[in-house]
Amino acid sequence: MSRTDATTRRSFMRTAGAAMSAPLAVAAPAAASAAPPVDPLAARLSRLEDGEAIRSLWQGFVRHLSGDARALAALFDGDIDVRAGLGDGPSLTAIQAIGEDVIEISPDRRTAVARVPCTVMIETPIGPSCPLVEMARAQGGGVLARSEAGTFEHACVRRDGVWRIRRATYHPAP
Amino acid sequence: MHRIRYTKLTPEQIAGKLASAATGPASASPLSDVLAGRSMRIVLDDGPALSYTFSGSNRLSLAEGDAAAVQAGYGALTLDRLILFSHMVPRTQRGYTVVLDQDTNLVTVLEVWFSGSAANPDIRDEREVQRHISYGYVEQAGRPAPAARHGITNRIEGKGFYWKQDGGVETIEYYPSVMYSNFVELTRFGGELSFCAPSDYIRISDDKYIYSRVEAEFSGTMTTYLLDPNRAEQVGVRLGFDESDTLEYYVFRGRGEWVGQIAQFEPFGDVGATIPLGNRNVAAARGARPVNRPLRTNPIMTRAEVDAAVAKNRTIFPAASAMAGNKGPISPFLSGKALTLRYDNGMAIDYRFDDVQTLRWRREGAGDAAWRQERYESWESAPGVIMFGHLLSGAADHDAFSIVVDVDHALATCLHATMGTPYAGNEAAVKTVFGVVEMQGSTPPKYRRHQFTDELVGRAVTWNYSPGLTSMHLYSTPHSLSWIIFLGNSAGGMEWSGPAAYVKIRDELYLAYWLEEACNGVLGTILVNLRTMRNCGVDYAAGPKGLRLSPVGAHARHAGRFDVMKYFTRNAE
Repeated sequence: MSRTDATTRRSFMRTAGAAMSAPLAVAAPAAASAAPPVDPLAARLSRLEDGEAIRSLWQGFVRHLSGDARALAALFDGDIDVRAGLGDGPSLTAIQAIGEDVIEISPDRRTAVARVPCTVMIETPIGPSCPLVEMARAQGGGVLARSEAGTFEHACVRRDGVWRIRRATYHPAP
Repeated sequence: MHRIRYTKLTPEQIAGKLASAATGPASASPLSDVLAGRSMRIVLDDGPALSYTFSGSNRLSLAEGDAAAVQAGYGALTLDRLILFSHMVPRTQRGYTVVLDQDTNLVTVLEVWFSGSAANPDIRDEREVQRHISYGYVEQAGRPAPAARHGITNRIEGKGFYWKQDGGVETIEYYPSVMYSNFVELTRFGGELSFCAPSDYIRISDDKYIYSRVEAEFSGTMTTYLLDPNRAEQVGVRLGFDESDTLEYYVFRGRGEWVGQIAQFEPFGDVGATIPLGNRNVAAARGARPVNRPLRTNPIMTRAEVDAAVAKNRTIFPAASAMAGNKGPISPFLSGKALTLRYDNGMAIDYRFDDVQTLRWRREGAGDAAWRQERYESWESAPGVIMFGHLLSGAADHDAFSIVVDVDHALATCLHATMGTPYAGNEAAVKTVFGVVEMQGSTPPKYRRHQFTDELVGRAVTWNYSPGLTSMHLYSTPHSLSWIIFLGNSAGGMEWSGPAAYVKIRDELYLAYWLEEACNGVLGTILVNLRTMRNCGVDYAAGPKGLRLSPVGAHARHAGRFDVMKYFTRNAE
């Protein structure tokens, strides 16, 4: 799902929501730079810096998903692109990281993928609509909430030395 | 109250009518002089300080922040060490109701005003009193500001009281929600129906509370009072315009009776410090809050509009219905049977039940050509007690029946629904008709019938229709029913109320209907089984999408009972 409008809370909520992120250990595999530093120490430092930058990105994604739409948009390279695979009805309203992330950085340091184990809260509108459901919606309800475990996969891209998310994709646990 | 056409007063009309409020509120009881001669500066957490000087029991001066002081009339009453005083600000449509605890010096201030539409687009009726609640304290020279504050609470949720004010007004008031309340006007409107209003509940201490409601969608009148639940005493203020557009502005003292406490469903430990509204966006305007305004989302239709919509679409017992996620299995009991339902109003209907969802009916004595085929659904709520519903296709008023037959006793009760009232083409009407079942092997009684009953009155029952969709019925008077929608934390939320009737079928088995009057026009009919704690029934509605006859099925929980019947029983004299 590609999104360009992140200005209204309602539309925003249909895509995702906020959650606290858990501190995670670095698990980035070795990555080679486009212009590899000669100094192995500098190469390792770059890798660690990339990992931390990407980790900050997905942590910001979790934090801003149901809050600050502008802050969320600033995390993305282009339009906000969140794919939850839930169809038209359900929406993702909260995320909580629950394990260690795995960050894979391409050898040229231009792209990366961060996989974050998480639990997500999914809200499905109760339907078909009826007066009772309408009344419940008027006070913020009218949805069936459930949580499930899965993984968020953040495809990231580095431009001008800055990492951003190109696409965030949710995969339910099998 | 649903039927009163309250005048859409203009701001100019309101300003003119408020002129008399400048001298302060009226009172049937002597006003308190506890404040006379005192000056105080009230510091508020979210507003300008209010500097008061009280020159007597009915005159004060007020400076709001750094503004110049103005003179106004006021009225004060006390409840123990609590003081409630009220005044308007002259030449404005604003005023204040202030509650001061003399022991703690903590203060709750309700700023009130009329003509709220300019600041809040949700307000379309200038006579609807708006309020903003601030908390603070009375500044004490040489003392630090107290850290404690009054605040919203659910600690009074579930209580109910009968009240009699010093002016003679009697009410029953239920608090089944943290943001709404029910009130029954015993003297003003005869106590037939209950009504619902957005409300505030504020805790002062464990035995003192502030309650406030605004009769939104009706007169717009605000009633605010201090409440002592132990002694069932109140002091308060009423501000607004009645059905004749006359200003009501008075303080009152009342005594009452505690009528009960029903259940709360929040998690243990939740004391209602916040009201969870999920993803509901409440306008940022001062005083804004969620208010149930059902006629905005369910606009009134003419009969012609309804007829046209029904001609285009009729939905009869759809497979999916949020109101029937927990319905019981369709009963095969009637399938293959033939019977006649003979009612006391002279109506007699022959039935042939061809299968579990197809029936034919005709007026008794009509020829074979008169049979009409309908889709129906039926449920056997208790052994031998079947509820079924069907449309009467071709009927002029889009008639439908919800029927309970007690085969064991050969009794039948029919809720005969029609679409359209003098008030709206898309509002249902209903008549309750008693009768008997004539079928092979049964002997219908000549005199015995199902009966109207008051046994449900005062009870509260939750209904879980589908996962995530639960309401609570409060059988608030012998002739009305209120429904309360739960918030995300299972606290009571929005409400509405409508006329209702209750029929006893057997012990712990009741047929009930309610009309969602001045609302969406739906007629709800349910057979309530308090032994199995579930219902079955039929909703009947019309709107822009046509006519809808749909099943209802829910699981119940007892939520408690208010002991109120004695207030509805008329003496013989």
